[in-house]
Amino acid sequence: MTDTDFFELANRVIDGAESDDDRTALNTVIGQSMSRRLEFEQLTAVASILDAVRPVEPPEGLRNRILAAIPRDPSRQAAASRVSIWQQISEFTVGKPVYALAYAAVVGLLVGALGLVAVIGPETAGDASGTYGTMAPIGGAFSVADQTQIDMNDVSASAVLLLRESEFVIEVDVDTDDQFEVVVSPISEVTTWYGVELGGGAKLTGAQLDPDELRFPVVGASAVRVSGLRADLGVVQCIVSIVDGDRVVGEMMLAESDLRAE
Amino acid sequence: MSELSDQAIVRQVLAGDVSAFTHLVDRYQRVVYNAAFRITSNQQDAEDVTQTVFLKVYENLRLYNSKYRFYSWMYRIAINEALNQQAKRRKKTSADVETVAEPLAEDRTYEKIELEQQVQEAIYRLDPGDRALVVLKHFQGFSYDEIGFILDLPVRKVKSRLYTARQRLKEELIQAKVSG
Repeated sequence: MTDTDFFELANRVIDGAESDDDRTALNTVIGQSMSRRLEFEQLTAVASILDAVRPVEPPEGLRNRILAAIPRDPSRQAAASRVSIWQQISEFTVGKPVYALAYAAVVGLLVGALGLVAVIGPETAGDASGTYGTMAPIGGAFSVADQTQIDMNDVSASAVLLLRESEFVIEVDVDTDDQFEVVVSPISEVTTWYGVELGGGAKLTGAQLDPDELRFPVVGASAVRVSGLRADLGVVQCIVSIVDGDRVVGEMMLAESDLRAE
Repeated sequence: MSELSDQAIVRQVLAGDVSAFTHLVDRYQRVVYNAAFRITSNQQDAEDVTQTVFLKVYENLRLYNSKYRFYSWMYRIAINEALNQQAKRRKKTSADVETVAEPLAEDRTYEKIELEQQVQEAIYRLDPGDRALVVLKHFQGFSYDEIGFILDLPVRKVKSRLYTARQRLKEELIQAKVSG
């Protein structure tokens, strides 16, 4: 039995996840090897110590603090039925290649792709007029790492962080009657954004293509999708703000847990 | 405390009975606080995390998918919050690790308290992700599958990381001469 096999066997037994064969195999091994017996006993002791650690009591008043922070207004809850613009577009175009093509053509005129900026170089970032591409519903093995929303000050917005192995995507849906700006600010340094796509009432201007802070004017039902490489950020953390000039109307934070950065 | 199931309470809250949310707070504030404390090793951070978790749970209740256990879903939020809070603190040394000062109960000896402190310090020296794994497995009693759901990891990885984390803890505790 290799060290790895023994290690896994011992841990299965410690967790009570062993089969009868596992138990027999372990008894045989630790009966033949003092070092492995010692190793098993030490691991068992560690698990016992951990299991014996007493829970800590929350401080008095925490319950009241929690309850005081809960809004009495049920409308603060996210609406599960709220479907993102991307999802609507995706569902609309699935199985309708003509619509999908038409959509791509129309959106292609509205959409900026910063990937080209990354290719051409930052000095061209001031002129985004030629950087249009096509926007497709997001595909691939992305999973939702975080999501949040705000509904206040006449602005309803939601943001989601999507991840796959080497890339991240931040999608923001905003619905507002007035003109605001969506500001995407990564907490960690970003060297390149390789994709920016806009929908609805969102606009892109070349002057706003700043790696530290992406700004998009929005009005009405709008959507912003930005993407980048996870290696650029380490653990992906980002603040999405809705601003009116210098006034911050609302802020949303998106963060990947350390675990997913593995 | 209400004897209603979590799912039933969630349905009440979603139907507009905000006060029913109190039952979820009463039921889970202690376990969420404990998980947060074990991960952040800081009482104030654990309080803040617990408060934020319940606010997020409330605000996202409509997004909860009842095919999962409510408990697991809430933990998913809790662990993420605790890890994010801990990440903000960065580079905190073991000297900053807090233990909870409590009156010495009959069954509590100074040796036991010292051991718990050493365990907490050893846990805190683990990688944050591994720390969460140990907390979920040993302090909260989750199964491999549930931990996989909470941490968005395949079960195979849950096991291998848990085993490695325990091995590291063993070494830390032996070094601290508390393994017996």
